[in-house]
Amino acid sequence: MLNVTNLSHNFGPYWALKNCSFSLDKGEFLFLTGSSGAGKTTLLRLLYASLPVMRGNVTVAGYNLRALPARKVPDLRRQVSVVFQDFKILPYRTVYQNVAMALEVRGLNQVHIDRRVRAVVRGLGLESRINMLCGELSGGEQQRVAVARSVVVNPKILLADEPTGNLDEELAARMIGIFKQFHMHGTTVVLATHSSDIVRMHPEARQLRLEHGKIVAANWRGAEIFSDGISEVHV
Amino acid sequence: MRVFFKLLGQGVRDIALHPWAQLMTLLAVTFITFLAGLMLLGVGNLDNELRVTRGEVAFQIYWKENASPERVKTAWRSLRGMDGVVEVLTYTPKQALKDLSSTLPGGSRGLLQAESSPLPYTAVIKFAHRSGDVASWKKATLAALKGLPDVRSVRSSSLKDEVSRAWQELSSTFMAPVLVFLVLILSMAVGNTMKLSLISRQDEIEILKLVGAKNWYIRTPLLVGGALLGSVGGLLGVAGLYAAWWNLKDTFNFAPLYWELHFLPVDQALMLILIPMLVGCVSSWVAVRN
Repeated sequence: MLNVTNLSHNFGPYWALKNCSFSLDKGEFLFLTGSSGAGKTTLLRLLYASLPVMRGNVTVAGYNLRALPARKVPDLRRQVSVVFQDFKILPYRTVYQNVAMALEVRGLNQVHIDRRVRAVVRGLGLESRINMLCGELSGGEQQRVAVARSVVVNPKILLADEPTGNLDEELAARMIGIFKQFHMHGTTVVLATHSSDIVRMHPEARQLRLEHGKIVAANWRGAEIFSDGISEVHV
Repeated sequence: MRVFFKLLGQGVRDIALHPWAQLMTLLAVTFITFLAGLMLLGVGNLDNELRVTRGEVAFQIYWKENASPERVKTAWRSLRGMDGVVEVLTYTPKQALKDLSSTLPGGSRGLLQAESSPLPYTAVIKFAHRSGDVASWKKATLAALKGLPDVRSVRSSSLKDEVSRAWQELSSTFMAPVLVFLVLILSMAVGNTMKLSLISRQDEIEILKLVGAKNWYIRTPLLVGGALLGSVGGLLGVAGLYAAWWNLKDTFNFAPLYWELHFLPVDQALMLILIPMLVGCVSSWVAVRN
């Protein structure tokens, strides 16, 4: 589903990612952790073709991003949804319009769009807000709108960049619960966070820890494997 | 198709996002169209007037003094059958003398009351304005007229013809650059407004791209907005021009000019609406292509 080989990326003299390699199968849940500036956002941007892959190789949902022409980027993004810390929703549009936007660009028929949007909005507990302008919603509700827009299209891969960064602990836990629900339905999820608490609450998920653009540790089923090959089992 | 019409509707609705900028652009398009139309109207009417009254090519034909009247009258009949003839004026020696004496002051008229006129048979033949290789045509016509039986000499009114030709050459030379210049200003005005629309919709465009919208989906509303600005501006410009023409059409319609202004031909008026529409569309496309 997702294969990254020897991926490096620089912004001028600054190397944001250095020689990263990992792969994910369909339906896996990966936490991408690390402090600010570790390279999490750069890695995610490379995965949804917001940045060009110049060194190394990346395959996402069958698309080779190194050789992906610009006209094919929309096709990739119909398979890969993204959730951002700053939500990226339109405050002057209603909840319904924000969520429906992702289906409208695909040219689906209105009956299908309507049914799907209402189902997802109901699933995320926003039914009573469906006709409200997003600018009038709370932060947690806005984040749920962003998630609704991402999952309404049934993406193969869901990328989330610090989706809980603007939420309090309780809301953050609920948000992760929502991601887990969609993961249970077969969506591959990559979630970038700097909160170790969130990661600790989900030991069954995979984890990659980045530092200064390098993968320094990987966690798999309770075992943390450091880049020097030494592993440590958590009890 | 439903999506396309939805995007068309969005293009129209998006005009309300920056009403003042759109209004200013609309005024600019209207004003430029009006100016271009005014220029076309002025040049077209002047052109037309020159063609009708001064663009004719006239030849004066003088027969020999001893020319046979029958042969001259046969020649006059053949003149009327020539291609492009507008008018043929003929004068027998007596008619010519009478015509000449009527133009002289009263006291001098008696001098020309002779029994036998000293003037020859004369004809003035006028041809309609013609385009193309006028010089060759004039040369050939002159030769044909000189070849008529008993003709002594033929003169042509080349000065009037040259003035007309010079004007037409001048008008066709400066019209094109001025129109191109106006189209350029038009495209800059519309393109700039579309760029502004684009900047104001940057968040929306970013989100549309993230959810997999294709370029045409993002661009169509902006192209529609540009085309709409262009066509409405063009329409208002032509309407303004019509109002101006209606008020000015009889300004020069007095003796001795009798020059009535005509409105633009339908094809030119349509062009004044279609060109801004196309320019609006193209300049919007240029503004949003990146």
